[in-house]
Formats: sequence, structure tokens, C-alpha cells
Amino acid sequence: MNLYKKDFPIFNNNPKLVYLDNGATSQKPQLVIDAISSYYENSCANVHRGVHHLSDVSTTIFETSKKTVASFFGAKNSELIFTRNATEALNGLAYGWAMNNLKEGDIILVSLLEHHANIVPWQEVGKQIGTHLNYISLTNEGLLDINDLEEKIIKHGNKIKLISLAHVSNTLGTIAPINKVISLIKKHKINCKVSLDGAQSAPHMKINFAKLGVDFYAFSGHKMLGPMGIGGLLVKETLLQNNEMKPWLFGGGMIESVYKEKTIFNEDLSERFIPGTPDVASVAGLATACEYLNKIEMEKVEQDDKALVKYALDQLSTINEVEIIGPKSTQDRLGSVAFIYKGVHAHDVAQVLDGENVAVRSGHHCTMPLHTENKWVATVRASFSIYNSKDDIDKLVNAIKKIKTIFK
Amino acid sequence: MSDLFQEIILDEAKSPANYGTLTGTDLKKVRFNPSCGDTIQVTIKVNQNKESVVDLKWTGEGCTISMATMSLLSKEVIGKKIEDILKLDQEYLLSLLDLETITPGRIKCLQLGLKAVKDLLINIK
Repeated sequence: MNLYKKDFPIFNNNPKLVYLDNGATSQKPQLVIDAISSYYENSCANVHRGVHHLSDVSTTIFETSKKTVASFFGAKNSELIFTRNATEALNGLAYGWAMNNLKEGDIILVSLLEHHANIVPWQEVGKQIGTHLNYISLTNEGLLDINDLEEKIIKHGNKIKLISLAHVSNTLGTIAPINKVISLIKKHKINCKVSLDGAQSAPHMKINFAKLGVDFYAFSGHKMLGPMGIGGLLVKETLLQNNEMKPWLFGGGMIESVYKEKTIFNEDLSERFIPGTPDVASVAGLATACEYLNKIEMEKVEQDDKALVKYALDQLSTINEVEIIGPKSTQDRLGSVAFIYKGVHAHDVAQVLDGENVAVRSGHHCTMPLHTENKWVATVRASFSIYNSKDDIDKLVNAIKKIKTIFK
Repeated sequence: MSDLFQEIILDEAKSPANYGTLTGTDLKKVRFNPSCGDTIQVTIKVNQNKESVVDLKWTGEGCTISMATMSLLSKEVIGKKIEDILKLDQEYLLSLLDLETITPGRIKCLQLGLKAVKDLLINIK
């Protein structure tokens, strides 16, 4: 019996729901929902802009929540830039850092398993300033091909200015070998930044930005039990202090002074990245999600997730028609298990499962290059959170077995 | 859910009508649903005054709904006036499948083939 499910009202309201689409978005604990409602019921006022009591209350909630979130990720307060989600964070990296620091001929490396959020912005940067986007290949098992990365580093050297990788793949579950990537950068002495798309790692493993060794980390609040509409970009403080990372959205709040002909940006490293009214309620909700996860401890969250992934891999491999994609071992994968059902399109598989109250995702999962490379028309993905259990996976397997009876 | 997988739809998707590619025509269109991976390629021949469709063949890879709908649509479109084809809508497609409604998640699958056909015919003159 899963300990946490009762904390999530959606399961009380939908008792038959087997929710295995957490890679798309996670459910929210009552605490998070209450934090958002409570903000609007008791503390709603704009931040940093008033001297009245309610404005102080709201500002305190914002600042305290920000500290909680930054600390959850092992980052300094100043290193956290709130965005709507990881996609916006990666766009911010493109506009705020890449556009201001890269030039024609510079190379950005991503991998073949990236989410579109970590591909399309780099294509756009290329169109605007002439950078090149290259792809690190994968092994047959869907792991990052470290040898290919090393070859590219040897070939291009200091032309490589950014390596941006999914920390955990949203389709294959592959965990990126960050330490090996950083070692290669050091070994070949290239002056290259590293960015992680953490949308699928933040919900499943402990993140310590201070120790990760990367320069940028993007995350989405709604995938880690927080509300939609809030996420963030973590940026190494030095890149903020030396102004390498510049604001990419402008307006009120992020300024110190505005004249007719010019503006001086806020010298506070954080506030210069908050134009307009922030979504204080969602920040409060996200902070509550962080506290909820801290209580469980992210090491345990990761352990439980790996146990579910292992169980899913074991159970799904007993079905002949199912071909699992991605790494075979839980050493190398986290968060989800995706597969192809031979002879039946993923969309139809998901439809049959939906008929049995099992919610999964089907299609490209916003990783079209990965699917094209592997000639997969579409795949089905079951992705997990703390309220999932082996029982959910048993229900998934039973639902999959129904496909045979419909598609003879 | 069970409606979506009734025999008529499954059979149609398994043995689709007018499956293939026409030669000797420039009228070729590929449409693609990126979110679910359905693809349809349609080739069409029209009559001399470009008023009606005289032949249609299609190929594709995708879910039951997209394939079955295209198959059923292909049978209806051959011989039909272009101005009438351009007026066909979602309700018409649902009636082909003998369905009253379809969930929002499957609308794109349903419409994929008709969109490909319309893309080819809309600027025909």
C-alpha cells in the first residue's frame, strides 16, 4: 500500500485512476493546493512594490519560498531564476546567455535523445547568430556515446561553447553521465559550458547544484509535485556576477532606474531577472512541494523510483509483443519505461489502456529526432512518481494483455 | 472506448481501401501528426476541368483511427466534386466511422487524411 497516495486528492476523487503519465505532469499533494489557495485567500498583494502590510506579507512569502526552492536544489538564492518551466528556462539560456556570448561558427552540442525544448532554441540561435548545432550519438542501448563525444571534442576543440544535455531522458529514462562529460572537458582543456535539462531528474533524484559541476540547470515545478506555470533556471553565480548571463525579459521590477533614453538594470543578481509581477502563489506552491519532497528525502524518492522501474522492466519483458526501449539496467535509467507494442500503434495501445483507467503517454514525447533515428513511428511511455506502486504496474500489465483480445 | 475499436474500424484499418501510390500525377501531399506519429501520403488525379477527383491512392502509418478514416474517406472521395470535398468536416468523418463523438485527443487522427486531401485540392484551379 503506497504511503503517499492519500496525500493527493485526485486519487480520492478518482479512485480507479492508475496515473502513469508523470513525465508529462505530476499530481499535486493537498498541501501544495492549499498553499496556492491560502496565498490568494490571505496574502495576495504585489511584491517589492508597496509599503503596506499585505505587500510585506506577500514579499516575505516570495522570498522565503525562493530560499526553500534554491536550497532544495543546493543552489544559492541568487543562482535561481524563476521561469514558467524548463522549456522557458532553456529559452532563457538561449536568449540570455548564448545570444550574448556566442558567435558565428561556435558549436553547441546536444544529444540525439533531447526533448524539443533542448533542440529548437539552439536551432533558433543558429539561425540568428550562425552557431552550429551538433548531436552526440547514442549507443544501441540508448546511452550517451561518450566515445563520440570525445571525438567531437578532439575535432572541434574550443569551438564547442556549450554542451546541453537531458539529465534524465523523458523517453528512454537514460541518465546522462555528467561526471564523464565534465572529465572530458577538463581532460581536453576546452572552455565550454555545460547545461542540464533537469525536467525529468528534479522529480526523481537529489540535485546539488553546488556539487554537480555544471553551469546551468533547468527544471519544471509541475513535474515535481508543484503547480504548472513555475520552474526555474539555475545559473552559476559567477556567470551572473560577471554579467555573462544577461536578462532576456525586460520591464518593471528588474530595473534600478529608467530614463527616456536608457535604463540601468537592478544590481541584485536575482531581481534583474524578475520583470513584471511574479507568480507568487505558484512559487509558494513549488516551495511547499520542495518541503514535501524533503520530508520524504530525495534519496528515498530515487530508491523507490528505481525499484518501480526495475519491476516495470521485469514485468513488461514477460509480454512477447512488448519491446522495451532504452537502457536495460536501473543503473542507467530513471523515472519511466517506454515501449513499443508490436503490430499495434502506440496511440491505440494508449487508448486501450485508457479504457482500463491506466493513463500513459503515446507518440513522440517531444523527442522526434530520437524517434526518427530509431525508425519508431510512435512509442508508449509509463512514467512514475512517489504515489505509484507495483500494484499500478500490475494493472498496466493486465491492461496491456487486453490489447491482444481487441487487435487479433 | 469500445466504440473506437468496433469491427468496422479495425477491419478497415487492417485492410485499407485504395492503398498505394498513383503514378503520372503531381498531386501528392504528405501530412504528419507530430504528437502521435501518424503519417499519410495522398496522391490524387483530377478530371480535365479540375472539377472532380477521378482517382486517389494513399499510404500511411499510424493509429487505427487515422488509417480507418482515410480508408473510408478514400472510397467516398473518388468521383466526388472538388467543391463538395472541400466542404467535408469532422461530423462527416465521424459519420463514416459510425461514431457520435470523438475525444479531443483523437481529433487530429480523425482529420489527418481529410486535411491532406483538402491541402491538395484547395488551390487546384
